[in-house]
Amino acid sequence: MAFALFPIGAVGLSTVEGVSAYWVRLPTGSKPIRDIYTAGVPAATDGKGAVMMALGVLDSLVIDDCEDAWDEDVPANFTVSLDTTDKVVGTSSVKVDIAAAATAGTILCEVVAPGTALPKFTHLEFWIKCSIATTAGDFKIHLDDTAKCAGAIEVLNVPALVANTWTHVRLALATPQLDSAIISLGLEYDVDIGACTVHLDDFRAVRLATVATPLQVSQFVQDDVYFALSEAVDSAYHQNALMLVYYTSPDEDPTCSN
Amino acid sequence: MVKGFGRMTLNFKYPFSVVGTTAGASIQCGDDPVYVWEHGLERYSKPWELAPDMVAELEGIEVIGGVDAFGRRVPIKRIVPVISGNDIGENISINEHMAPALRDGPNDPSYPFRDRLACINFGKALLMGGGANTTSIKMGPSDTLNFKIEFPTVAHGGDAVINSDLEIKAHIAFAKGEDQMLNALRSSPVAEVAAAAANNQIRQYEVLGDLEISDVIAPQVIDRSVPATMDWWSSLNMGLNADDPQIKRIITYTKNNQPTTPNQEMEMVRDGQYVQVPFQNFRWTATEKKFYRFTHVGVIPHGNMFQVKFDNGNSRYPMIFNCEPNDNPFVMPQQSLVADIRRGGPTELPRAYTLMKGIGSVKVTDNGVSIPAWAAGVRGFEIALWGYEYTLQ
Repeated sequence: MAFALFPIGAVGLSTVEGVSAYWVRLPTGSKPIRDIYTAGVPAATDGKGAVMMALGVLDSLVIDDCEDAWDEDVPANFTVSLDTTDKVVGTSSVKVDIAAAATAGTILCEVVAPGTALPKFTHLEFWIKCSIATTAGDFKIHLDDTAKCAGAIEVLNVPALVANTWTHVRLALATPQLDSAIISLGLEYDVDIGACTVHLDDFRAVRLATVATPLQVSQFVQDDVYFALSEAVDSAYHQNALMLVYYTSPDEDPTCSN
Repeated sequence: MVKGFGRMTLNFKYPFSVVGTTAGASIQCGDDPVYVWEHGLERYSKPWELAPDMVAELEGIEVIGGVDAFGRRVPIKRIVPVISGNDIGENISINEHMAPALRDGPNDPSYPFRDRLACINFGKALLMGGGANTTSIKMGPSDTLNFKIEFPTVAHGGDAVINSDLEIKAHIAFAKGEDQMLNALRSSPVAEVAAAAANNQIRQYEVLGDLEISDVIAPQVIDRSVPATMDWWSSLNMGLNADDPQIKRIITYTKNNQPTTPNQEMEMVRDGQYVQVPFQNFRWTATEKKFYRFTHVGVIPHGNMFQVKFDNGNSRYPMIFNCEPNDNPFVMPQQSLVADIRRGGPTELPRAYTLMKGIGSVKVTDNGVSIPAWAAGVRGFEIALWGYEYTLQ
């Protein structure tokens, strides 16, 4: 059995031997692939096929499921409601209509469970959609141990958003060791970008750790160093990824005549 | 007069990492000052030249590199010796897989074309005890030796930019001074050579027959002697002035230029563009005067390849071999990836593929799934042959 262990980044569609697929190339110096397991997704401990080791979600804690409208503090020119049709997780999302008259720096807040402790978590994840395109930092997420986000412990920039597109955002907590009693979650309209509608869903703190994820190999180029995965690898969600690949090389193929 | 006798290697170096080239290019030593040959402390950017009282034989070449950044051998369309400015590659087309470096990694004693440390893929030198039928490349007094390297176009699977170093190690046997030449021939272990030399002759001799058709075609004899003087050296087999009857070395390969039709034989012929370029035509017409014999084969199969047939118009039972990646009897001396194992090769056919007064060709069948044609970023299959062409008087 030959194997290769190597770092990888994002894996998108590319063309090898005239075939478009999610191709991965073994590192230079690797023995070629005579055969590799393609029958399905192996178990991580099977010792066959491809296994990716990357930072992944080890456990999580729901901070706000967005199944009720945010109401701790609704500032002027903000209208908050539940949207049961346009959502990602659960039965609804929080819909925030921001009027043109809204001013920069305004914060919409929601009460979260008293004493929510986040020190063991590393990141905040949530879904967000805006009716207009934004740039990083136009919106900010606040986490606070005082009511109505009066003196936020965490102020996290929301990355750039594409108009009318749900985006799953993962933000690193800046000071999780201080986030021991979070009681307020806020959305800050930090830059006056005009009227827009924002949808929010499924805020949760997550802890990332190296996770072994078996992947399905869909095809490979025999006696070469290319194999294809059945789906893309998003480097934003599989950080510090290592690929461990088990395969048979030509010199150990028991059916090989030479 | 300084005498000399022995074997030597000339290293023709093409440092493409210094002065690169591109797909479709043809390069010779001397085309740029960095392309040089080296021997000992000699280093020149021009063809190697024999002394006026010297004869030599090019016994073989090793191709070392180039290898791209990903460990893949840089595709070569054709390496061919150039003798006194003449491309002698009528039947010689060596690519990156066919002439391995004998000292590239573990020494490979199974490479069939070696004599001690010398590479003899053209033929063992007459001067070194080679047979009377040898096809070493003969070079006479003041002849020059160079090598032409042609790279394939991108459309034929070539690299757009060639920037990794390539070296051709030329194995040469030589005699400086006519008495040295005669002494070597008279000392030959080959009876025909030694006996002729004793009579101041150089004899070339071969009997070619095929048992399968011996009732209709008697064994044919090639027997030609020339005076044992240096002036006649280049008229021997594979010399610039070679004359009939003669034997020419064949070292060539073919690549499919069309996708195969599932379950149908593809004949590797230029008609219909089934091969990329004319020299890859693998269909021969053996006439009353011209015969062919192939002894060794190397194949890099495609994953969809199934069978290779050596068709012979004179035989109802042509040689057919399963030739799949998992069951490939025909080992190519080198694989595309440097990290792949050295498997020896090429493989000697169980019985030589001989064409006498008939038509023969190589045909390939897929496993039911079409084999794609070679193209930019797409590989088909590759078949290399080692053999001889015999021309009677």
